[in-house]
Amino acid sequence: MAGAAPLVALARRAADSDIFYSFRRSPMTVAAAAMTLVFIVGAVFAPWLAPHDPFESVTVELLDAFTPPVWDARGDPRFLIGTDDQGRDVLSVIMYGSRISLMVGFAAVIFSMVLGVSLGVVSGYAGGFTDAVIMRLADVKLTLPGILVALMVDGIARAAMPRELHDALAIYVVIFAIGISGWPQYARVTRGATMVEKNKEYVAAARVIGLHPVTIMFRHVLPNVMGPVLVLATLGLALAIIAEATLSFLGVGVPATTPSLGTLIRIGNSFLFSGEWWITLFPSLALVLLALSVNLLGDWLRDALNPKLR
Amino acid sequence: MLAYVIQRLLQAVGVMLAVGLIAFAMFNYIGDPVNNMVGQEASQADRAELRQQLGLNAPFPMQFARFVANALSGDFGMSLRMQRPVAHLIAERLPATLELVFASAILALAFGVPLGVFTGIKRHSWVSRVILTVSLVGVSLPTFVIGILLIYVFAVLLGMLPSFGRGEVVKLGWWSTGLLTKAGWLAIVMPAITLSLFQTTLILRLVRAEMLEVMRTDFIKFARARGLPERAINFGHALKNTLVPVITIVGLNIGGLIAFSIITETVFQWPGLGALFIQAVQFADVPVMAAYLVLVAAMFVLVNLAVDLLYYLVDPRLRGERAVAGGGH
Repeated sequence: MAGAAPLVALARRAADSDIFYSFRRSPMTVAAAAMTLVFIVGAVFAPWLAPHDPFESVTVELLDAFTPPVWDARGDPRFLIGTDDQGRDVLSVIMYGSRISLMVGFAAVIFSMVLGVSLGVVSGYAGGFTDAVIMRLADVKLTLPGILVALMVDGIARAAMPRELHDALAIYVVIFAIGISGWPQYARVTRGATMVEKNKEYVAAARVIGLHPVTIMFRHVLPNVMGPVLVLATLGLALAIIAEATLSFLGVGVPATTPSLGTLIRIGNSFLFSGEWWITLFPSLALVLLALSVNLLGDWLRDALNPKLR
Repeated sequence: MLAYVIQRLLQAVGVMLAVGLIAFAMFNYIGDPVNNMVGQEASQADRAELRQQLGLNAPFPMQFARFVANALSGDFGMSLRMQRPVAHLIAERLPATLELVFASAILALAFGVPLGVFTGIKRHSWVSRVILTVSLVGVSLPTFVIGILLIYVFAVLLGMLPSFGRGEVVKLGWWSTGLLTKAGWLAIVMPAITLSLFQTTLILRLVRAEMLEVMRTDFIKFARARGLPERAINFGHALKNTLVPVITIVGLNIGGLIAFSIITETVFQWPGLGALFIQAVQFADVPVMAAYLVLVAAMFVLVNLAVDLLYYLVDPRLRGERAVAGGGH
């Protein structure tokens, strides 16, 4: 059992930490974390956990289309919250849809984080002209609403690429479009923190022993400015998930063959008037719960990592 | 003051030229404009002639200068999808969007400012807590989900309000308005609420934070000591001093309103600019996209300019500082 001992010690240390204490003390945060976990597990393990495979044409019956949820008299116990216009189980498509939504969300956040943090560290460390150029770019970007930039990028990609190529790359275009509009926040925060850090002794020491500026920036300064970046990334994840859903709802996001939550809401929206409310309202509920939970987690993280608010 | 105005105007022109350059680059280099205009059967010679006629062989600065001149006279070329001048399409759709954006801005101010003042003054009352919690939920709801929920409740379940379009419109010259008919008023209710909700919460939180800040200052304590009535203190003294940041945020958020009107217009099938733009994106209709970009940038720049000039009217300290700085050195 020698291997387990450090793990136990680590777990005990984590359980004793301030952050975990503030986590336990806030029931809202615990609930939000649990909900986020449910979504992530449900999305990642959708092929094993989902009651049906909505994309397997053998098991999907058109006869089952428009089955209401089970509590309705016309419901079917096989489909807990009903089926859509093609007879697919709504719960299953939501699980598969969250997969796309979360994937695009995470990828977009990582993209804008890597871009923003790199530019921010360089900007803060180099100063002068480089700094001025990068920050002007960030200002210009910040005055334009993100969703507008994402739409423009998507439109340009559509105009510049042949249709088949665009359809094949649609998901990457969406990731790029959302990611590119998020970087200035990361750049600003990292720049500010870097400017504080670079005057400290350990940076001077690293410079004295002759390390390359790039090594100093990314191996020495960067780890010390990651706290606020982590908060931004969590809040950014909720924004990115909503942005993806919005683009897909507007019909310019991921293609209908790999529906995300936004695509599901868009498809279901046309059945709202004929009374099939569950096709659109359950994916909407899932989206709102997901965004709200991630937002609450981000809020908590911001307060927990900010020593002034303790 | 005059020097400041001129400086700001020059900046605005600079920004518009930069945006124009982007729009021009989109217009000219994404896809071949000649290909977009002629049919499949056009010969090489025809294409070359059209190319010459359109001036596509001229040097880049010349072409850009012509693009700017055309744009200034309202000529943005032809829509690839609808084969009509882009300027006509925009003129048709502009009134719908402007009416929607104005209605939402007024709603946002009419609810956001009083609620912000209330939650700022009565900080510990349970009503304030309810208002703040509700506003937090409002921020987490995506715009289009709010729209769908409103449609479901008020159009599908209750059948009280129409779920799409502008209702009846009346033509006033080239401007078509929905605000002169009952159907038009009913039609604008849900889109305007949907669009204003996020802005309302934003203004509410901002006014509340500023009020809390101002209420702690000495001149408010002094006003209390003088025995002025609460109403005069809250609105005459405190609220007045929160106006500068509020105007800034509201001004900057007109851009947000225009961007989010794209979503609202799609949900409610509102025949405005946003719906036109979404169609342009879906069908890669570059001239419409370029024109929309220029138009939105122009609105941004104008609003920002107006905000900067409003500061002077609202905050006399700014005038003083400038004068001192200018005269002292």
